[in-house]
This record gives sequence, C-alpha cells and structure tokens, in this order.
Amino acid sequence: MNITVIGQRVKVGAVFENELISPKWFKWMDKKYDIKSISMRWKSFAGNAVLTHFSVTDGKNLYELSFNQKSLEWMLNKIGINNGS
Amino acid sequence: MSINTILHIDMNSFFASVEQAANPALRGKPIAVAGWADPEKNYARTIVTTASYEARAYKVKTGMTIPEAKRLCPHIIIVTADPDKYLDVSYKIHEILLHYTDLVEIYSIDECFLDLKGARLSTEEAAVKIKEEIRAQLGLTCSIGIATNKLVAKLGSDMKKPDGLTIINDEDIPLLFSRLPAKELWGIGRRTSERLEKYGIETAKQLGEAPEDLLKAEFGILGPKMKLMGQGKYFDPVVSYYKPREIKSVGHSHTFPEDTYDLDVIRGFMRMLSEKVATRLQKYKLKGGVIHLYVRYADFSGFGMQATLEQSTDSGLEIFNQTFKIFKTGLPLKKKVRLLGISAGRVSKENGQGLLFEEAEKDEKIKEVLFQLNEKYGEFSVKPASVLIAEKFGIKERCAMIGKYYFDRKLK
Repeated sequence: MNITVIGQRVKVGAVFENELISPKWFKWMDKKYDIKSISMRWKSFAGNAVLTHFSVTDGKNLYELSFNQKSLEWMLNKIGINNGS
Repeated sequence: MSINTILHIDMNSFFASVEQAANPALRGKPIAVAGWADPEKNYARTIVTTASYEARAYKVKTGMTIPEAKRLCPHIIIVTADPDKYLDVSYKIHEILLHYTDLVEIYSIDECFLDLKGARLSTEEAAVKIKEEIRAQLGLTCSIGIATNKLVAKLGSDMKKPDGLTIINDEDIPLLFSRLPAKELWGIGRRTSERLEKYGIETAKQLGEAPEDLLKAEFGILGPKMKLMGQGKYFDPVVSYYKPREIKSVGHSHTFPEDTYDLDVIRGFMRMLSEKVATRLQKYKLKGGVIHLYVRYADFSGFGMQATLEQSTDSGLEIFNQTFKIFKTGLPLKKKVRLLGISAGRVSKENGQGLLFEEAEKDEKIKEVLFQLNEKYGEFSVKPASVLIAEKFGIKERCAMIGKYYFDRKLK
C-alpha cells in the first residue's frame, strides 16, 4: 500500500446524525467517490478549531478526510492506494 | 485472603494496531509505525516506534532503524505515526474504563491501572467485559493482569500477549517469584539489576529475602521498598482519573532531519524548542527554575547540562538564552549534532511576583498575546524569526511524540 499526502479541499456529502458525522461521498479532481465504509473517526486540534478525521474506503482504496468544525471545510488529507502489498 | 481488585491493561502493539483498525488493507500484514520518514533517503534515520505482531514474527522490534527492519522483513509496510489518532483512541479507551470506576490511572498512552474495589462485577468478569468492549468498539486487543496490587497486576499483563488475561493470586507469588528475574519487576531496570547482581541477587525472590540493611546501603530509601517488591508487596494506590497530575518538568526534543554543524540551524531549532517549552509552561501557568539542555551527536554520544535561574521563567526567549549559553560551553563542535532536547525543571505555579518593572510587564503582555494567537490559530502561527530557519531546514514531524501531558487536550 502506498500512502500519499494530498492536503486539498474537497466537496463532501455527509449525514449529521446522533452526534456523529458520516461522510457519504466526496468529489476530488472532477471525480466522485462513493464511501462504502468508515473504519475510524478521531479528533485533533488546529489552534482552537476541532478537526474530525475519517478513515474511509470506496471499496478499493483508503482515504483520510477531515472536517474543520470551525471553518466547515472538508479536506482530503491522504490516499492509500491498495496495490495488494 | 486478599481480594484481587487491581487490573493492569496493556494495549497490544498499540500504534500499529490502531493503524490496522483504521486501514483494513493493513490488517494481517507486517507493518511498522515510525516517525516521519523520507522514503527518498531510504528511511535511514527513522526508527520503528511500534511493530505489528505480524512484523514481530520476523523479529522486527521497537527501536530498530527502518533499513534494519526491511532487511528482516522486506515486505514490511512503513506507516507514518499519527499521534492525534492514537491519543483519540486512548481517550476512547478511558471512556470505556470509566464506566467501571473512576479509579483509572493513566500510566501511559497505552497502559492503565484500575482498582475495582466495591464494583458490581467481579474483577475477572469486568476484565472479560472490558476486553470485549475494547474489541467491539475500537477493533483492538489488550492484555490484562489481575492481582492485589499494581506491581503484580503489571507483571500479569506482560505474561500473555497478545489478548491475554492473567490472574496472579497472592498464594501464587512465592513460586512465581522464585523463578522470576528481578529485572522483570516494574521499575527494576538494567542498571539496577546489574547492581543487584553484584550481591548475587538475580531473582525476585532473592530480592525479597535480601538483608534490608544491604539494600538500604546500596539504594538508599528505595532499598526497603525494593525488598517488599521482591515479596510481591506494593502499596501505591491507583490514583483517580480526575485527580490533577503534578507536573515536575516540561520538555521537548527533536532529531534533526540531517546531522549538522550549522550554528544557525542549531540555534533555530533551539529557539523553536524553547518556544514549545514556554508555550506548555504558560498553558499550565507554571514557571521553570532550572533549564536543562541535552545534545546528542551524530555518533550517539552526548552531553547534558543545566542552569539554575535567579528567577523562574516561562519566557521562550529566556529559555533560549539560557540553553544557548549552555550550548556555547561545548563549542567549537567536534561532531555534528543529531538531536537537541530542552526542558524546564523545578517548576512552580506562577504568581506574578517579580513583575515590578515596566519592561517585565510589557514582556508578560507580549507573551500572553503570542500564547493566545498560537492557541487560536495553531502552534507557531506567530513565531520568532529564528524558527523560520529551523523550518527551512526541515521540520517534518512534531517535535514531541507522545507525552502524558498531551492529555491536556482533553482538559480544554
């Protein structure tokens, strides 16, 4: 698996429910990716902004998204390309 | 008969297991979690922080360099450490444990003690349930030791990994300790065990039977405590999760991306580390009375020296000035510098005394504004110019990995 740092803003469709945020799809470089599962959520801090991170998969590759609860921005932080190794 | 109410919980291969839980493609594969690593330089300076059990099967161990790990396991996957992720998972573990008791003592990011006296469930039932909950909610395994005290519970959690549950009753201790090397006891390190060996003390039982006077002469006030430890007796209680911790010192260290003789770069890193120490002191409303500098050279030799201040400080500039003064005593450099560590010790609560002069008051106000800006916009949003040099030279990872006081995030 090759993990690449991206750090770009993306457009995300998400459901906010029961105090949980669940991204459902994201658009990056004109392509839409449907999220099949979320394997982990965790929080971090940037100054006094809370960021929620999501480890998600489209069934093939792994993506790390983050949501800044202050600026309401979504970022695609990393991509893990599953090459079978 | 004493009742076993103490649990020690040790998460198995924690950082690697968290990465495998976060990334299904890593499960069942040999992985090594490491600090920031530069693949173009073949990870030459990066060491393994944690290896997954699959990697351990190839004898990959914590502390090895990545090239060493790759020699043992050519298909090992290197994952860059993500401290925020591990801290968040650690908090989630605490939340699970706090459903059982508030006598939860955080020993490290992946180890906790619990005291379940007065709990509804038996200690063993609770341990089984805790393991199930951690597995179901976080996809992680842990090893648990159960005993009448922290020392023996910690020993128990070490006896079966991964996913173990070991109960050590008081009546099991004599036989167990007769075969147990003294160095396996919590707190008896390599140097202490070498000193014990001088007196023919090799097992825990021999330590428990050693003359108290001899241990007192060799180890001072710790001697009698060590003798009791050799008998499986340990009286330090489990401290409540909510009891504020006493901070004794505040420090940061950083390994340079490349070893260097360049004084501008060294000074830049030194300033950056000083600011980080100052920021933490300010956050805890503490001031340090002693500043300590540690320098490690390219050949892993090093020197450490400290300076006692006339007046305690939480100023990044003051800490930097003191450390650079210490550093200059080692000039000219005979070897390239690999790592710097700076800490403030003899910390005390700041009380505003000494701010008698206008200049000092102005300094305090500037510090306060800088602290608030960095709190609001992130660490080093506002920084001294020398830090820019350090950044240019390549700060690719956080200076400090994990310390207990990262937990202050939780207190925000």
